Amino acid sequence: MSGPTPTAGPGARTPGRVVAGVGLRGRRVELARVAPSHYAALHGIATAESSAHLWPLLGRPVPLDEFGSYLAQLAPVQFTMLRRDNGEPVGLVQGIDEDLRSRRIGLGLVVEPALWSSGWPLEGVVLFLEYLFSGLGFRKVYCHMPTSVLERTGGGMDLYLTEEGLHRQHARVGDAYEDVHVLSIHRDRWDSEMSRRITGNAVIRSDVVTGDDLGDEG
Amino acid sequence: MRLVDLPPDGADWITPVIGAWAPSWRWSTRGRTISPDILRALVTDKVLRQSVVLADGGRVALLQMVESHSGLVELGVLADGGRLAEMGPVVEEFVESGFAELGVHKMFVTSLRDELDVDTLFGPRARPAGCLVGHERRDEDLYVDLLLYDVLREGDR
Repeated sequence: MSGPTPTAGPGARTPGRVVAGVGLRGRRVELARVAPSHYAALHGIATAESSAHLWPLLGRPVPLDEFGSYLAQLAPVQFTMLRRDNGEPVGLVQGIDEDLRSRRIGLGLVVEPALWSSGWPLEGVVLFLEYLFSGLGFRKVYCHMPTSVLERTGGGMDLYLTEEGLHRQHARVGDAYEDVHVLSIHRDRWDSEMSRRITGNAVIRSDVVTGDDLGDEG
Repeated sequence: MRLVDLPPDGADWITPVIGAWAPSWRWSTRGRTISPDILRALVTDKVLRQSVVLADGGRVALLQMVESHSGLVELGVLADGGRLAEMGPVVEEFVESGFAELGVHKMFVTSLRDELDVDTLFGPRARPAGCLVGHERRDEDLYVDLLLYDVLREGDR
């Protein structure tokens, strides 16, 4: 590959200017690579009675000492959601069943049960979706949610979600069966600017060096 | 038509019909080359029941029930697309005996819109559950929908 080399001029890199990219840090949540130091907390969250039905761990108890291997096998891309005020894990976001030809991937999500209703951990989901669409170039993201879980999101993701399927009486939750919603988020409906404003990652355009700027030298 | 078991070492006949017969999602190649290891996995891993459909002395379909997540059962199909309309009674026999044996309350089957005619094969037993729009890439500007169906017990239809 060849092209103009940025030197001095309006498009040149200037110390202190911001390079456009996908941020992994929000206002209250930060995404961190899953690390062994997170396993105990994540295992506790994933196996809590009230969160077990939200995740593929359902019905498959995994011992703590095998949990890291289980996570690595389950998803090629995943992050621990850390709360920024104390660095503690509050959940896990995963990209599962990826298809690189069709550029689609499934979304796996586990959140500390006590924090579900607070809403703010969903900032981690916004960060992750921005990473999948803008960072990795996926075209479509799917998630499956039982009705009770969908209700717990409080409509916070309704702007982006499209219901494409509904399996009635599909997932066993407690002693009963619940409907499972098949939801999608398409890149065409994803608003990167809005997501970056939500997570505090919006930057002033004049402060950003982009590929176009670097190519303007010719 | 009648159902017979698939012998443990009797899957070699499947390789030549992959890509030619009508597949459910499980058997859709989706651009992949199905290696012997993948084929072995498809007829063994998490397979709860499977039968071969015979007609006129030859095989015309493979039907499977496969353990999926959360205790659900997925139906896998690889069938001669020209014989689907004749298979209704044996498919009904396979599904009903599976419900009786496995004790599950429902099953599901998925198929790309242009690959398997689920309505013809399963009839009213399969209830549409959705359509994942533009799911599978075929060409730069061509994506094919994935159709979702629930398959219900006789009394739940």
